[in-house]
Amino acid sequence: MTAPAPQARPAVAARDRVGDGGSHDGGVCVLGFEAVSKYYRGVAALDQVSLVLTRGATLGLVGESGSGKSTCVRLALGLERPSSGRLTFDGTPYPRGRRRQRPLRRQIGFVLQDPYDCLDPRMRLRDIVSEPLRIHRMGGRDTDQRVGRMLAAVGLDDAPLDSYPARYSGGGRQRIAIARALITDPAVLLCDEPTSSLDVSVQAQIVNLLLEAKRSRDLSVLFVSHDLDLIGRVADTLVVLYRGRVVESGPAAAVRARPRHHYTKALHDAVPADHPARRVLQARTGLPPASGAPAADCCVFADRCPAAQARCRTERPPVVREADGRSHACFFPLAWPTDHGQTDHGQGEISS
Amino acid sequence: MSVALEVAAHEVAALQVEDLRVRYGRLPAVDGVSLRVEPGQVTALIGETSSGKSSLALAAARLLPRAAAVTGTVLIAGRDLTALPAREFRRQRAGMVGYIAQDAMAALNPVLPVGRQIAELFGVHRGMSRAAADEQAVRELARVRIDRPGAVARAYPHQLSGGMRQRVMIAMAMALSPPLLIADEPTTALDVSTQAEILSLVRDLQAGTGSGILWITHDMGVVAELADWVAVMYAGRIVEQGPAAGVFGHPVHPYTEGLLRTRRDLRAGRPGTPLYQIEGSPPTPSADRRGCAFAPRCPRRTVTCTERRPELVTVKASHESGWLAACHHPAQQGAGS
Repeated sequence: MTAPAPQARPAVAARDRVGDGGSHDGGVCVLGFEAVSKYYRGVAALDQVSLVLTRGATLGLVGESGSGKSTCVRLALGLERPSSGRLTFDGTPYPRGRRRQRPLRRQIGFVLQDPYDCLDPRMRLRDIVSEPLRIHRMGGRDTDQRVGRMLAAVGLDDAPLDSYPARYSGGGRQRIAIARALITDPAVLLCDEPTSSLDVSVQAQIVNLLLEAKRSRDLSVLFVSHDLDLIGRVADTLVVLYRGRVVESGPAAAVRARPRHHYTKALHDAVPADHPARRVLQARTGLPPASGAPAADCCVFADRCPAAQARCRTERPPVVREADGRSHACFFPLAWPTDHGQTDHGQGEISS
Repeated sequence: MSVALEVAAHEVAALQVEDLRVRYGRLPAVDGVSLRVEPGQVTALIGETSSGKSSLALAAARLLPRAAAVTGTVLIAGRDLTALPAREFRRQRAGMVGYIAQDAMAALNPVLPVGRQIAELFGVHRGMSRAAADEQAVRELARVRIDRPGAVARAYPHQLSGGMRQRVMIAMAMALSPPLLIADEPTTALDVSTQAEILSLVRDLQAGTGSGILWITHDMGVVAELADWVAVMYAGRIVEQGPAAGVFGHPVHPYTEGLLRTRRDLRAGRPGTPLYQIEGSPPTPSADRRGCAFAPRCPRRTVTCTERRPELVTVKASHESGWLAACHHPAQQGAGS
């Protein structure tokens, strides 16, 4: 069963007049964060975060609890406004006001973590999946057929349109949520931990479904997760968030194999082994706990970092861009023997 | 008879479960499970939603509600605690089995400082004075590597991070040095870096105490880090159990194989390519299941699988004693995987 072919979207015209956040590393920026900060009662949930989701790409946002991942999602969905900085869609700043944001919201589908939480148990499948069509006044006589086609596209071929979510398992519900996300034929899909509350044997099915949807519908995907393995497997570009700041970003494979930032490395080292004969967690693996809210003029990781020096506690490390599309915010980044060029910067300082 | 007794004296299991069955109404949650946890070892019980793993754990600790019908034998350090009257059992439980729940926030008392909650154990079960028990509680918090244990002892659960709360749970579960610890997915809700700390902490603590641990999880990575022995549960039954290193190297049951392959592919597969996936969904409990519960999802199923339920039998050609699998078409040992 094929889903309706993605139409040439009206937004394409808008894409031509990209603003300053437009062209990036050879790709067109669909969704951009430009130095976005978000404060809740004076505490920075996001601090000068810049993200670029290029057209057709999958941007992986990885971080632990409190890193600001979910705040990014809320901002991208237009549910909240940044305290400073701005978000752009197709190079155009997000408009103010719900009504004016509507055309934009139609272009952004979302799949959230908990399929038990995000589907109204009293709504029938038909109404759940077609709700975005009603909101965006895209419904018509063929709504039922569209819903049916959409459900078939997510693997729920014979799901009765008047059934309720209770009938479905976690994986089934997440399929319903994906159908709802895709029915307006969006350009961008936001996935916030879409598989972390599912059974292990079902996670891969849902990830594959998302990968397939991305490919066949020419989607750009913002994939948020705490799971470094998963995100390294699905994303082209990785952004590592820690306590509201981007500490490292770059091509997923490079960031995973040769992390620059000590936090990325710590995350990597905390992933359990794949065989009992190769246990990796040492008696003191892991990090000392974070102390209270970090000051603005320091590295947010300094209080836990094994390589921290005095400078890290008094000065905010600037974002350093490297030639291969990577960037990091660390005074003493890790260097790897396989790095091309003479990028041994920082190595001497670490050992000193 | 006397020989059997001698053997038993040498090797009293921390936990021995024989033909345990748990039913909620008509629906079986645990359907005839036998399992041992050796002292000083970690047995990982791996399974998904409604596999019965939590029911098994709760039944072993005798924490199930009355509505659950439990039959079978549960021996903790050789003692049949199910035979004790409820009141007597409650008096002895804390000394026999420590229970670490997934949600420490729900398990801890929100209106009592955590140090007091640990100290209560020493007061009730060891007859310590309040001051002595409070001091002992601080030492227990230090043992689970909490910095400034004195300050933490005075904190309420909501003032602590998730990782700290879980440490408190562990301190509490181990306080009376019970022969058996049951941990029900204690790291599932934690960040990976916190999980790493908890896993290495538990490994170290166990080396010092010699308790047997039944560790329930759905994460093969956690199993790889901790377990000596692994039991895989599916639809209320154990489908495979054996030494962890052996099972990871050469899984016999297709479900075990699938779980391991899923994880391997996630870690090492080429980015952007489809992931290896097990088809279908975990089954819902059913009172009248014929054949193998995994058959609808199994790549090796035949007519036999849908008609006859496979028994849990010794894996042929296995040199390891006690390696069992319930499959009509088990993977050949040594064939690689």
